[in-house]
Amino acid sequence: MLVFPAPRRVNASAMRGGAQPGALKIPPSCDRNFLHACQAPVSEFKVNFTQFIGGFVVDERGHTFADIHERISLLPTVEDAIDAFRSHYGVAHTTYHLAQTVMDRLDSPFVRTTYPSAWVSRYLQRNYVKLDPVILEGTIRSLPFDWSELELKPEAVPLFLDARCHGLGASGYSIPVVDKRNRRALFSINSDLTGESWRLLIRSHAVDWAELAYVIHKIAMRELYGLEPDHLPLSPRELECLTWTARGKDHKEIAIILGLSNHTVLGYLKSTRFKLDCVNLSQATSKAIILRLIAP
Amino acid sequence: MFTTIEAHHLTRVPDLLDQMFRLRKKVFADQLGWDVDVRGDHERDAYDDFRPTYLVWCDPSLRKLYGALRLMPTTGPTLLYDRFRSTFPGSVNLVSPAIWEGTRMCVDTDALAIDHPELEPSRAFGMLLLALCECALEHGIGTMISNYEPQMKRVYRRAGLQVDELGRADGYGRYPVCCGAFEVNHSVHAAMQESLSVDLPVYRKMMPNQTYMPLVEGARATTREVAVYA
Repeated sequence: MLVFPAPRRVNASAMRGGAQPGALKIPPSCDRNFLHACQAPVSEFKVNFTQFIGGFVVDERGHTFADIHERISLLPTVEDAIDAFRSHYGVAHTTYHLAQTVMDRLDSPFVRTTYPSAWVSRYLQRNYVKLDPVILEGTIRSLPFDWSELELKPEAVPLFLDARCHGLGASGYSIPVVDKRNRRALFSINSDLTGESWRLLIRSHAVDWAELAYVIHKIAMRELYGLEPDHLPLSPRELECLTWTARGKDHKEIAIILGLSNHTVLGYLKSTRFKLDCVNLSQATSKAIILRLIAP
Repeated sequence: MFTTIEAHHLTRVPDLLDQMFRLRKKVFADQLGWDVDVRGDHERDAYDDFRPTYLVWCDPSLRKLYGALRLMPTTGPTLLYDRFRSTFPGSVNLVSPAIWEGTRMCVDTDALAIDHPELEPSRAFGMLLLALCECALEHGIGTMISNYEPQMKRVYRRAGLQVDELGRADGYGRYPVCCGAFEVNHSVHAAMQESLSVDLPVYRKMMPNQTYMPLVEGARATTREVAVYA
């Protein structure tokens, strides 16, 4: 299914470009001497290095992961969500790419991105999708990957150099998404950071980003199919753990009550939280009570 | 070496995969007598058709296989969720991007006896578990769930791994099949390294021959330089 974009949105065959005119300075077109025109743009974004305060990860503006998770999950469109992600984490660009698997893995995908529109048009004009290893590998990989792990065929080198000329960051990280219906998507983060600071950024956020990739995927499902996605059913063990949480027990106490290990209880609670689209257990318990899943 | 093979690598290492499917037939169908899909000399099921990631133990030339397992995120279709849901619905229903499923874990004791005669089978299995732990840590996975026969619990313990049994079911093979979960974090990793007396990382990501390196100095980089970087 091809989704027609609203005017400001960009939707096109498998691209890694996007519509944020003016967000970054776009170097002049660098068709021939693009090597000389390539200047790494100085990012206007700063990295939000996080710190632990009272057990919560808090960024420099005092936001916790719970804040950004909640904010993103309430946004109506993928376009809003990827933009909120970008500004929260101070990365150069973000892209959500749903590979619709009906006929072919690259058959009329649904794409939203924050890349500059000049890059998007360039990408389409040049049909870069045929060369782009992020898409070629990313739509069939399943573990998250850094773009430095990609196989770079010689013919794809100009694509990356051209991307740099259009103001894209030097580094990238992509998270494959697979849901229970075996729909596959790819959420990609592009950054101006390199080396150790880039690795540090990924290391400190990889787990949160994987979770946010699924939040954005759910928004895409809602936007595409107009349906509020069904919550995956909670198992009896998950319901038990959640009921005891609602009664004020922490995971160690629940482990003793149910005769399980701490880690197993944490696993059930993690899964419960994910299935209910909640960022923390208080939100999950109140949602479960509202949905009459538990009666503590 | 221990590494992961993802779908885009599959065509490049056909020998390795062929050996893996043969080994799985030998172990799960012939030795353990599990009710699994056998296609010719291969044990291969619908989940392999979904193009999962395989963690493999092989020689550095990627030609000879010593062991393997299959990795799938619990957010997608998974074997344990689909097959064990009816048997013990209470437990095998975990879904999270940080929880992955590892199935069809096996080592080729014959191949190891030739190339690594000093390695006893339970230690070999432990090494594969250590590689699994490192692979999970590397990719932000905090919990692994897996299925195994009850006697394997001792092998897990000897590798320094605490596995919580979530449930067990009869009727899949001669013995009951358990479904268990184990935690992955740095202290689990340290405990495993100590139990196995290993002090260097064993797992490494499959890196391509020519990689996309960050083109920080894009102005200077030429096509040739980029190729040389790798």
